[in-house]
This record gives sequence, C-alpha cells and structure tokens, in this order.
Amino acid sequence: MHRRRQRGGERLRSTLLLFGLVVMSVFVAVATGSSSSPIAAQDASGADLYEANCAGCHQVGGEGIPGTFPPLAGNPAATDTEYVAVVITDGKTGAIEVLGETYDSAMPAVGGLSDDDLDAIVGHVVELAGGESEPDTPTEPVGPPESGDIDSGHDLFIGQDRFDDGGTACASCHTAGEVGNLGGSSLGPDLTGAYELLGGQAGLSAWLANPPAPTMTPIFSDRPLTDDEIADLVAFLADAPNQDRPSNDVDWFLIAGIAGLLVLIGGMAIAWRGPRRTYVETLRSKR
Amino acid sequence: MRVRAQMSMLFHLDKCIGCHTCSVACKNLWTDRDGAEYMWWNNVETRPGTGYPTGWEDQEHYKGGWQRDKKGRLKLVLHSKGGGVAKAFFNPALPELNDYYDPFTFQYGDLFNSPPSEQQPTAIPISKITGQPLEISSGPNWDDDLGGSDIFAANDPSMEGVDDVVRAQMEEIERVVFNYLPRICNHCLNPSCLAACPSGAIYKREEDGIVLVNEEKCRGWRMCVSGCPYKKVYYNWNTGKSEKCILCFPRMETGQAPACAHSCVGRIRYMGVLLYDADKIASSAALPDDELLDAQLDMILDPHDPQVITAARAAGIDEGWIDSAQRSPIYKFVKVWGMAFPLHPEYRTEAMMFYVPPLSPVMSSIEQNMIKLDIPDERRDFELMDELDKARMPLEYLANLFTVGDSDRIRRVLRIMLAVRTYKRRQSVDGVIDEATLELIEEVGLTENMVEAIYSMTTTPTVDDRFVMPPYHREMSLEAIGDPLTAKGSTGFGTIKPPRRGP
Repeated sequence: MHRRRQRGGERLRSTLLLFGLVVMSVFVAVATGSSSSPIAAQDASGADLYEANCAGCHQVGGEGIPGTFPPLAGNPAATDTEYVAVVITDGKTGAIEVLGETYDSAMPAVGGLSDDDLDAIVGHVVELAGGESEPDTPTEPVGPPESGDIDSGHDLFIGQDRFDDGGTACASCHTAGEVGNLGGSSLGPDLTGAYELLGGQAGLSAWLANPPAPTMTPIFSDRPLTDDEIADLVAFLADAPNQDRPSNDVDWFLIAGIAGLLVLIGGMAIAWRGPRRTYVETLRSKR
Repeated sequence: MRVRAQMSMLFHLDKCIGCHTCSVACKNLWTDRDGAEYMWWNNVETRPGTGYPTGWEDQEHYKGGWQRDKKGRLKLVLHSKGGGVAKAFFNPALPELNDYYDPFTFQYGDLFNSPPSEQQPTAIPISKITGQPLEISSGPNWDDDLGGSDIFAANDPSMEGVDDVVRAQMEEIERVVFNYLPRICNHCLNPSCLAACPSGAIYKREEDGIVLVNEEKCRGWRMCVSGCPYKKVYYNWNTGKSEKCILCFPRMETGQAPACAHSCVGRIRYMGVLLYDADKIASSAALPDDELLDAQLDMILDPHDPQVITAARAAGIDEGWIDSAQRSPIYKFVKVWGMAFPLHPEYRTEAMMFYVPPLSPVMSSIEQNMIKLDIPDERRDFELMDELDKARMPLEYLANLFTVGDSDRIRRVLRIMLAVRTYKRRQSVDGVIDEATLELIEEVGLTENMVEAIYSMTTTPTVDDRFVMPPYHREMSLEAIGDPLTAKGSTGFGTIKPPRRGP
C-alpha cells in the first residue's frame, strides 16, 4: 500500500505544482493586464485616455453629473497640474465643494498609467478646466431606466442570472446586502453602502456603465452591462443597506456538527483499533 | 432449447504433481505487472488446506456465490440490491491484502555485502510493496505439501462431515495425505461476479462462454471480488480495475491451448467445447442442494444428437465448433464416462471447469516395523476396489469438494479408475485378463472398449487429443470490419491500450 501512497503523493505534488503555476500566471496576468490593456495604450492621445478612464463619471466634456460627480470643465481646482496628477494617481474621497455645490463620493485611483499617459490625461483635464464651462456638444449622460427590479438585481449580483454580454457576476469579488448565508466574495469591497457612496441612482448607474476601477475595467470594457441590468443592480444595491445581513453570532449548529463528527471519529477509532484481523489470524486464534 | 458453446477445461487430479508450472506460465504471461503481483489467475493448492486467498471456501466470511432463499429463488450471498447500495463504499466481505499476501522478494544484496562471519549470510524476505522486512505467515502455497498442518489443513471447510476418527488419523504423521487442486476462473454459466458488478463491466462471451471484465467499464467497486465464491477476480491497485483469468482467449483464438494447460508438465489438463442448454441456467441453479449437480450435468447436451445439432446451427454455432464439441475430451470425461465434476457445485454458479477426483493410497498400520495395508491379502491385487472407505483421502472430503457431499459419486469414479488400472495391469503384466477382472469392469459399468478409451485418454493422449481447439475464425470477423491485409506485416490484430485509472 505504501507505493500507492507514494504514487498518490507524486500525483498530489504535481497537482499542487500545476495549481501553483496557474495561480502565478493569473497573478502575472492581473499585474501586467492593466498596463497592457487598451485603455493605457502607448501613443494614445490625452482625449482618448480621458474618455477611457475618466469620462464614465466626469463625462466626455467634463461637465460631470450634478450632485454626484464634480465637473472638471470650469473647475478652478482642476487647472492645477500637480493637484490633478495626485488625484488621478491616488484617488479622492471626502466632501469637496465645486462651483458652489458639494460633492461627497469616492473616486478610485487610476492605476497602470505610464508617466506619459498621466501627463497626457492631466494635460487634457487642465485643458477642459480652463475651457468653456458649457461645452459646445454636451453629451447626454447614459441613463438607465429609472426603476429596476431588486430581485432581478439580486439574481444578477450572485450570478444566478448571467449578464447578457458575459460579464463576471458581482459576487465573484464583492458582497452586498443579503446574498445568502455564505455572503459574497471578500476580494473586492463590500458594496452595501455603494449606492450612497457613489452618488445614488445617477452616479452608480454611470459607474456601472463604465466601471473605472482598475480590476473591473479590463473585465467589463469588453463585456458591458446592459441598461436593464444596470437598473436592476442599482435597485438591488440601493436596497442593500436595508437588507438583513447574516448575523456574525456564534454558529452553534456548526460547532455541534464539528463536535459530533469528532465524537464519531473518536468512537470509530476506539471501536476499530488497528488493522482488521486477517483470516489466518482468525484461524490461529481458534486453535 | 437454446444451445450455446462453452470452452471448458478439465483437470485430471490423479495426474497432478503440484509443480506449479501452470501458475508460473500464467504469471509470466499475464500478471507480471505493477498492481498484479499478488494475482494468481492460476494457482495450485494443497488439499486439505485453506487455499488462496486463505480460506476462500468459507462463504460465511467471504460471502461469495449464490444461495437459495426460502421461496426457492436465487439470491446473491453478498447482498440484496438495496444492501448493495448501502454497502457500496464499505464492503465488509472484501478480502484484504493480508488475506492474500504481501508479495515479497528477498534481500539478495545481503548475501554479497555481509561482512565475514561464522555463519552463512541469509536473504530475508522483504515486501515488494513497502520494501520493509516481512514475517510471512500465509500466502499462495504457504501451506504447500503441508497435508497435516494444524492451521491450514485442520481448518479446510471441506473437512466438514469427515469422521472425527478419520480426521485424527489424518493428522498422524505416517498417515498424512494430500493432493493438489489447480484452480483457474471457472467461467461459470451463472457467474455471481457478473451479477454483483454494479457497473455492468463483466460479461460472458457468447461464442465461447469466457467471462471477462471490461477494463473500460470497470469502476473498481470490487463487488465481483466478493461476489465470486472462488475468489478468482482480483483488484489491481495500480490501474484501479479488477482483473481475472481470461482463459487465454488470445491464444485460443489462434488455435492454441491456454498457457496453463499447454505448459502442464503432468499433462493433467484437457480443453474442449461443451454445448449446453442456456434455457435451463436459471432453473437449474435454483434447485435444492442435492439436485444441483445432476441439473448442471443435464444442461450439457449431446453434440451427436441430431436435434441438438439442428438447434446449435439455428443458434448460429459454427460447424467447426459442433465438430469440436463432438471430439471434446471434456464431453467424454464428464458425460460419456461420468468421471468429472465441477468444483463446489453448491455455490450455484454452475462452474464449467471440471475435475477428475484423485486416487490415494490405502490406510496402513505399522506392525512389527512393517507397514501393513488394511486390505485382505486375497484382494491385494484389486487395491482399494472394495475398500474405498479406507482410502487415505476420505471420500467425504472429496465429495465436499466436488459433489455437494455425495460420496457415492466419488466412490463410483474412483472405482472406474481402479478398474481401468487393474485391467491394464493384467493386460501388460500378466498378458491375460482373468475372469475376476472382467467381472469387475462390468460391475463398475464399463466395457473393454471404454476401458481402452479411458486408458488412452488418461495415460497416452497426444496434444491433439487433450486440446481439441475449435476454429474461432477471427480472420472472418476481421473481414467483416475491414481488409485483413491492412494488418499484414504488423504484429497482431488491432492495438492494445493500457487501461486508465478510473474516476
């Protein structure tokens, strides 16, 4: 039997090795993915980079979304090259006042930009900030239907229903509200308060239409969410803070189960000590 | 009547010298592989003894074969259908490695590397699996030639019913007796390994009745290992599949006898075709114990009977096979002369390998340092003819092995063998056959022609007499699939791929 165990060991080792290689390659892909993703391609103009990375919230013309995402066009703070560069590389949270209005949402750090890219984007932002506050061709912000369905949003969030274009289910990385006993994943932030943080209906919809977070952009740039899906998810996330979270109390059922298992294994270990008696041993004992 | 053909082997135990050449031929050909070290598709056991795996006949322990329930229906001893599901992941009746043996070799290096000393160096046995030193206490042939061993021989289940006085005598050192019992898969008509298999991986070939394990379908449940009362299915721990004797079908398909039979030094093995009536399988296997053997022998059809021949042709049996069945030495031994029986018919699997029971010397006593045979002087020439109860190997024991305890059947066969021997001795030593001998022959139901036939088949058969191999016409079945000439110059037909470990 030992050789079998050895072979099993070899197989286990090779499986672990393979698993390690897969994990490593995933890490490498994630680490290099953002720099090689199209949104930060070399030779891209400041306008293109802005559109890819910033326009989701701040809109193409820099007009922002009133009450949710601050405008860049005509924003005096956005004329400061250094300040803009810091905000882009580090992100920004906390309340700020822009053009008489208070904005309190979160901007993630934009990762994977080369120095040249950063300069190009900063240049474009400063250009927008110094330009007309009312752009010539204001773009219509993408507006999802007003009312989404909470249950459909829940199903989309946990992956019960697939996204039409094949995007990854939210629960792969996030948890939010009540998504079952085990909750969602803890890889990404808990989205329970996302609705409020990202500025309610309009802000969250804009965010989801073109997610600017570095890990989400490569996934959802090719597989965007549809308007209906966005509406459902927004409805679900808006409702999330009101949902009952599974309690973090001690789970006595689990503890009783583990204790019972140990008692069972212990009982079997006592009842069947050592290897079973062979037939020859039985014959010997008969003598 | 549904006629089918069965390739059968017959073992003439009176000729077996227990040399194990058959086992080695089989081992070298089929089971010299990782995971198959402990498999002996062919093994030779010393009887009385507990055989291999140890105590395989103890069905209370190993739960092989069939039983007849109170309503007269046939049931597996192992489990019911529901019980099979319940025990799917733990089968307590499964023999373990130690019930077989830890396959071993010897640490030969010690013979060369030991420092100079007063004593001869010895090579200790080490396990071929763990490489650790072993203390061997059982295994195939561990009790070889130990007819009186107080562990193995004393616990032979077939000794049940043997008179206690006889048993005590058998354990006396001067009276120890043993014979050999070579065993392969019995390729039963009603295989319980097949019935026990949850994956449906075991099947009985239609053309020759060989029972095979489909290595592609086998999922390693090992219910066949338990289900077979003869313990002739083995689990290969390397491939995760079960394996068994294949009756050397690749050899038979090319007209050769199985390797064990071909290599037999004592020429005890015979091969031939039997035709049987498949309609009777279920009913005859479910009869009460005392009717089992007759029912099984009745299933074997007379290949000369025109009705049988017509039915055989209708069932698609090839003319060459019918012809082989007519010349089959097995048919002669089993049906014409009635000298051979299957091993343990009470297991109800309708085993199709047959055995001619062995003769043994007469009991003797020692008087004044002289061995005195327990036979009256005037009948000395006729040996045990009238005194078979005094044979050293108790008839009850042989009857427990071959005839469900009916010792009269064994007595009849042994008397036939003695009569042939006496007749031929008169003929070759005295030159005249006296009246007493002729009377004797008539008494056991033989004619002089039969005596000659039995003698020539027993003592002077040629290879072609012993092995009447039917034509398999593999070339014809190959033609049905494709052009046989495409395989010209290559080795063998088709390809062999090793079985992969199951999921």
